[in-house]
Amino acid sequence: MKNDPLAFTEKVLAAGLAAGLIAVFFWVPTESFQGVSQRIFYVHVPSAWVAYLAFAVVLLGSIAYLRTSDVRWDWVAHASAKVGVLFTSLNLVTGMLWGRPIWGTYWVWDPRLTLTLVLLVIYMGYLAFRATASDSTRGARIASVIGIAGFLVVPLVHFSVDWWRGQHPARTVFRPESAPAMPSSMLITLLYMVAMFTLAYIVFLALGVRMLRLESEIEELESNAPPSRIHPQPSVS
Amino acid sequence: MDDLGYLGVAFVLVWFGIVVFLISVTRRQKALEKRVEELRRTANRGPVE
Repeated sequence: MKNDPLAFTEKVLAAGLAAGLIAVFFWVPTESFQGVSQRIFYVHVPSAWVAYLAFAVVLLGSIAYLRTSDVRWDWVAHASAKVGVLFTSLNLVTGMLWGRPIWGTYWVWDPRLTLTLVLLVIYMGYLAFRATASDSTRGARIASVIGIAGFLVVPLVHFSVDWWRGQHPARTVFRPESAPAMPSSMLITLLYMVAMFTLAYIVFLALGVRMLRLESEIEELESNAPPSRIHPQPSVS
Repeated sequence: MDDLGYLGVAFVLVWFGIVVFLISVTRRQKALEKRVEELRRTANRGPVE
């Protein structure tokens, strides 16, 4: 599509991620204890951040949909859940690839790892439910409840390193009552990668919402029904 | 050397995930746009007399 702002943003994103790679491999110093494996941190942490952000948007979109019945909020929640699942998977896989050389194993049943896996399973269940729900209005309402309830696991994942003793490293950037535990080049690169991954999230979300809008339009054109953006309220018996 | 291998696999997987997601969504979007266009054309043509 000509003059599509999303196509331009995609190009900015590709250039930005390439610049990020250069910073990760050629600018930041190698960490003295962990060696080169520590560089996984620059994609592992931004993936976790985007997963939190995506599931927070699922929460907000689901609440807004239940309050207004405006299907556009449901599209936002649904599209965001897909991106959240992608980045939670990337977070887990990169964590495992860091764990093998550092811990000597890909996986330990540490609270942070286990809860992240639980989070992934919940939102994969959310997407599986959406894919199989026969009644789209009822399906969207039930999915909204799952989306809201699933978010309860996010603070548990984030604070698990403070609340329970585990193998996962403690927080290094937003630490309670202290400055980030890393040199400025590492911090700048990390924040830059967080910004790039956030941009990727925005692009994916916009594309996802556009796709759901097109699917809805096709459904309406095929049924020859007049277009409507408001789902009917469920009847109360 | 092993550590470099794990690092390489991690970065390749992240970029692969991002690119595959982007390509699959873009392809699906194009297919949907085409279908919408077809349906609109059919709807505008109206019933054949």
